[in-house]
Amino acid sequence: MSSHPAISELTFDALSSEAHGLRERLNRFRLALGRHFVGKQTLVDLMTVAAVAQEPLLLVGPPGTAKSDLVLKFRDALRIPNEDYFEYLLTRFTEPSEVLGPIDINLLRQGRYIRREGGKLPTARLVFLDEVFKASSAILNALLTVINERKFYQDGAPQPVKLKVLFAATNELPEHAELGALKDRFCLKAACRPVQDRYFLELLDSGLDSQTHREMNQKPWAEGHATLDDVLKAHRYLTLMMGKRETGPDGRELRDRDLFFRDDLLREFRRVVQTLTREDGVFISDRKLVKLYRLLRTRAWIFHGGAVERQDLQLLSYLGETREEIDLLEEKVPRLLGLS
Amino acid sequence: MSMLVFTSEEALHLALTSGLVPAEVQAAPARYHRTPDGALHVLPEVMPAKDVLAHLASLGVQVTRSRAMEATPVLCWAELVTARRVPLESAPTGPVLFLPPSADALLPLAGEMLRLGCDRQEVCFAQASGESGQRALLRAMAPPYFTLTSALDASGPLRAFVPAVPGQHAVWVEVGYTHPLARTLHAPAGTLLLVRGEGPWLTAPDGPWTDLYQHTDLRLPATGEDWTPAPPPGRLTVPLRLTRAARTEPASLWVLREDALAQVESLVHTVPEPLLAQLRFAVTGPPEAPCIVLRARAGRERPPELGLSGMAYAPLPQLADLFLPCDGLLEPPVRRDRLRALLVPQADTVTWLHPTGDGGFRAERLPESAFQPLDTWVDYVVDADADALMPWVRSASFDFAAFEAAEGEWQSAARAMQSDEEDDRSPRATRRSRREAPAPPVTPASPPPIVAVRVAQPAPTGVRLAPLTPAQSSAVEEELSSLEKSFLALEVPADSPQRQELWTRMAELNGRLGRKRDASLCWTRALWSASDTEATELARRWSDSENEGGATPAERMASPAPTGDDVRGVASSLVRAVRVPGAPAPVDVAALQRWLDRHDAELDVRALWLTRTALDTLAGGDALGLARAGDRLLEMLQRGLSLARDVPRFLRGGTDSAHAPRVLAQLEALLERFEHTPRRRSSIEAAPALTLAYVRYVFAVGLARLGQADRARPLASAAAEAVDAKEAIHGFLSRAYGARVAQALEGQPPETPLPSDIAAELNALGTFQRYKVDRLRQASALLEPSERLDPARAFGRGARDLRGEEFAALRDVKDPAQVAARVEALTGRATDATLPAEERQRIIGGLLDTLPRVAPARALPLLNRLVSSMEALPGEAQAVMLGDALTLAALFGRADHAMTLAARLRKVLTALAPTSPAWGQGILGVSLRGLRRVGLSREAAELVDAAQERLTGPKTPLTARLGVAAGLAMQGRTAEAVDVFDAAFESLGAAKGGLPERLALMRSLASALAHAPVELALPGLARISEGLPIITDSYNTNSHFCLSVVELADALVLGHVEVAQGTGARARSWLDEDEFLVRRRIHRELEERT
Repeated sequence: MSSHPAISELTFDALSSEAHGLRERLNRFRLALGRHFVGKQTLVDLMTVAAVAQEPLLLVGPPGTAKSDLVLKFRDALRIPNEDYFEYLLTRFTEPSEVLGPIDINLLRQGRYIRREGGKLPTARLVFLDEVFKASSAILNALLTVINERKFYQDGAPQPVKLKVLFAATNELPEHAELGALKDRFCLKAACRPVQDRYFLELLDSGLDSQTHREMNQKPWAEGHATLDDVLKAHRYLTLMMGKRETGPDGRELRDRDLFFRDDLLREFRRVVQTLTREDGVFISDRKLVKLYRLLRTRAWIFHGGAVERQDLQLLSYLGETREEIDLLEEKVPRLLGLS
Repeated sequence: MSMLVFTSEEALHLALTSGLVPAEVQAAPARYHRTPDGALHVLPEVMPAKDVLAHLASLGVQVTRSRAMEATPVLCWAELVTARRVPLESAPTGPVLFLPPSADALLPLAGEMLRLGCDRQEVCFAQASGESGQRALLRAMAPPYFTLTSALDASGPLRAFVPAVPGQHAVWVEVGYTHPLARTLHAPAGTLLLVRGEGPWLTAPDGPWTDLYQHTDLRLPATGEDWTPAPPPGRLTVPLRLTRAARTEPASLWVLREDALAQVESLVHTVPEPLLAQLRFAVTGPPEAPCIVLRARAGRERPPELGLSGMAYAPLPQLADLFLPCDGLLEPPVRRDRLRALLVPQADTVTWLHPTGDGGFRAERLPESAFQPLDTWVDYVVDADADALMPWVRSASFDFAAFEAAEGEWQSAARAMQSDEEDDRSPRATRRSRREAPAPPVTPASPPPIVAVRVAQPAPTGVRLAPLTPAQSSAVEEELSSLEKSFLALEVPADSPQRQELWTRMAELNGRLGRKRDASLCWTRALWSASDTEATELARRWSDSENEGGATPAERMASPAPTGDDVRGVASSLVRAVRVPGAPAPVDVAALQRWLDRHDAELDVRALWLTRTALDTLAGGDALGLARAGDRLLEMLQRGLSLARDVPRFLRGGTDSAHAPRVLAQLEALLERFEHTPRRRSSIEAAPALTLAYVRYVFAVGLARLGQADRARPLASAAAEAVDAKEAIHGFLSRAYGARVAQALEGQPPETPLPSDIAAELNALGTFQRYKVDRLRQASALLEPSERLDPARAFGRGARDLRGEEFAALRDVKDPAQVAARVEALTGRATDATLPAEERQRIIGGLLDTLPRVAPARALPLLNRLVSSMEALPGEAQAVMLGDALTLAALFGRADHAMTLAARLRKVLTALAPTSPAWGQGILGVSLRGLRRVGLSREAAELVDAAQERLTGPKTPLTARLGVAAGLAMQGRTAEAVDVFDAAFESLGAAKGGLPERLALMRSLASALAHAPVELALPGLARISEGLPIITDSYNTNSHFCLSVVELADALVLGHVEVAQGTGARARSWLDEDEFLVRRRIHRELEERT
């Protein structure tokens, strides 16, 4: 039985007492899950951060680079039941009803245009959309509203969706302007690359193990370190924390950044953003900047439980809009930060 | 003590810039206080004189007694004027001075810049006055933007400064700010003045500066290890093996060892005659068991499937005369030259590898000459005709020579067959020769062999423009003429000191002869490559020469209709004002700039650029204005230097004036030949007068290009009278040719597009009309010099423009901004990875034709995107497109891009089959011209060599070899090209191939000959024209004209024009170099100043 209504009512104090345990569990979860992949720990970490921050994440890479496998195992590891999970491979022929639910014929006879959303995207808390940019414009439009406002329209009336975590995958990033809006909704875009050059033998071993597990219907990655509720609680805890105001020793009101983002690192954050914008033409909207702050804070909390540190700024490597930019930034940001 | 009260900062600014406050007072320190209403109370350390104070008072500056107040000290009065914030668009490319908060902060700063690739750093340590501790300055060249962002953060402790005036390193202004008086500031010697955006100005000692590496210890992760060379343990033996390939290549050589004769007999009984004509055969082995080798001719078509039971072989792609079993593969892969040395040691042999089992093989070979056309061995007879049976029976009995086998190789006993083909053919008359009429068309008498002759440079003659006494003129003209001759004879680069001297002297002499325009062209050339000190003197002399006895610049600018002399006069004065210290500078720079904007079309490219850079200096840096001027100039240079505008008279037209009369006389004779030679005509051909009208148009354009207005105009009029201008096809073509004549007479470059109203008429033509018009546009390079057309395909698709409807629509767009936007959108489409290759090829091809209509700054990035998306296209398409791209890169003056493209093109060409039709598309010619235009002669020579190496095989089409020959001739290597010319003439003489192929060959030959010396080119062109009597066709263009005749006329006339314009001579090569010099300086200065 889902416990998410209770989570949305938890107070900061209640969550504070659990925070340490939550963090421990989430860290065990991401490290344990990473061991079931070869050379994908960074992506597992990124997925964990995106899930806790409830920011959509786009995985970009050629077929056969474990994009889907990452999400499936992520779901298994969090032990997310079927009713909370929805995944779909989109093509240009996919009908909205396949994603949002079919129209209820009985109600249609009564003149009401209502979708039966059970088992479809509106009722799922973790959603994975493969080949997301291949969807038809009707689905893309619906997705924009779902991601942005967490709602969809039933008979012309907005209705909330349960979506908390959205992962999407694509083989290539389209350059058509009409898909720009959806692309922009994914604040983070990470490349999923083949690893055979670097980990040839490890890949063979892991691949064979994985195949065996699949055929034996085993899921050793579902180790039960953390659950979706843990992710949601962590999100609520961080949201409440970032909205808090404390009074400093000098009586001044201290904001989140005063406590968890040192001035020199804020300056570095700003410098990297300025450089990427000016030198590489990376577009970072005001909305995205705020989201980035939240993501940086989330990463810092998960990884070391406190203030943002320099290595957390590596998250800015995932701001690329095109395949070239993704490759460029993954190399450039660490170099700018002196972390490469 | 007196205190000056300025009502506002603007008032103070005005007082400082207008000189009301004397310089010595301004330069001295002062103290000030700013009141809340913006007034400035200034307590100067050096008090102005009484009269100055009185003057200031009269202008509203209050002079009062000083009152006790808190006053801030300043180093000089300029510090009272607030610096303004300006956005930083990009990281400066010059030096930047960093002032860290303390010396301790220097190391992380320098380390960050080193990490980001900036290692040109110098540091200076100094003891801070009045503060404890050491301060440090760091001077870096082109620091990374990331580091600058730190200095841009006003709340951060790091500050960065850039030179107040580019080039000087004493006064620095904080990055992100500009100070209105910065250019007027001077720092004491040995001191740096740092103008801060906010806060007091700073001074610091200027040095000693030490390179950062002197303070840096680089440590290796481990100590180095010296290795000692040792001899190799022995030679490696690698056996070559024949293995099975994954795919089977189509066979083109068959070795029949068993029942060979029976198999061939069966073959000739069953195979269609045209297929038989594709085969050649050789016989070897003992007469009782002959072995027959059949071989398909190399060609575009796939070799025939013969179903023989012998061993079938296919040629190795990289070595066309080495054959492997069709499913065979040589392992390991070996370089082509090693393979040739190992397996095909003798030229002109055909070698095949006979498998001997277990990967072993034996190389067997026969001389190339042993192969005979198979159809010469066959006689078709009617069974009932007993008389006719005899020759066949006879022809089937072979006179085999003895078969020899030695060391695994077949020494063809039929070496006797090496005897020339006539001997072989004579006893067995071929089917064709017996069937066809015995009398071949009239063939011209065998011409004497072509001999390459070096052309001597003639002395150019000048035209006197200004009155001088006969004795003076004669002496001056003589000297000028002699200098011009020496100039052309010089074998040194275009910017060499010898040429510099000649330019200066020729400038003086032209000036004395009153040829002001030529004089100006010589002066600007002298100035162009001169060093700073020389330039000062040259600028003074140029200005003196332009303004001698004339009006002052102000008077010239006041003229309601300024002449070219006026504009040059003003321009030279402006350059002088910047170059010569103490020369009078224009008072109102903005007005001068506006005046030049209206009138600088009178200037040549060099004068224009010198003027614009001078304006930039005077305006204290006008990056935008200069960038616009740069764009405009590069646009002007898109089709090269304009002969009329940019080239002195003695270099125009190519410009071998000694040969001009000869060329013109031959052209006239040629026209007469076209008018009076009776030729074969198709029964459907329109009235000969119509064809003749177009021939006349062609000659008119050619003569116009050679400046023969009095001949070109009447010819064009006669042609126009002969055609019905109301009819759509005649109407368009008549107007188009007429426009070409007019453009040529105006000195516009050949590549100039047709006037837009005429070009737009094309879209209005019906499909069939368009097809006919396009056929002529395709055949006439004088009418359509640049666009590649394929009317048949366009007609088949019903397209207005084969490149696609987008491009047809683009033809109607006249607004450059719109063109650029559409081209950009199309580039986006072309580079979309999901686009099918064929579609991409179409769009890229069209875009490469269209990019010259876009400003270089926008076009170049698009070109780069297009080039990188070509990789997946077929080699032939890539070769053609890379040639076009290279031409464009050269037009934009980008030697770096051209070099990269040349390397890529060379690679693609090397992989191209010698038989590929791409060779015949003039890729080599356009690429070579492009490379020379940007000064890459070494790359040009490499390209020719690569093509030459690729196209040496006997099966290489002549048109392709002629392309190489043209390249060789262009480089002065005529002797190497002569064989190809000979072969082409021989082929034409033997009337090989159909008329279209022969016409294509004639065009290629005429085009290649045009690059050869005159002594070779003119007789050659005359010889080509001898083919006229048999030129005819039955195309549907015959309703309006005989296309082949017009095409021949076009090829010949164009050849003559190119010869006359000295395009094969040194002058043209010099002009390419000259254009390179112009582009090089413009690009360099644009980078430095903007």
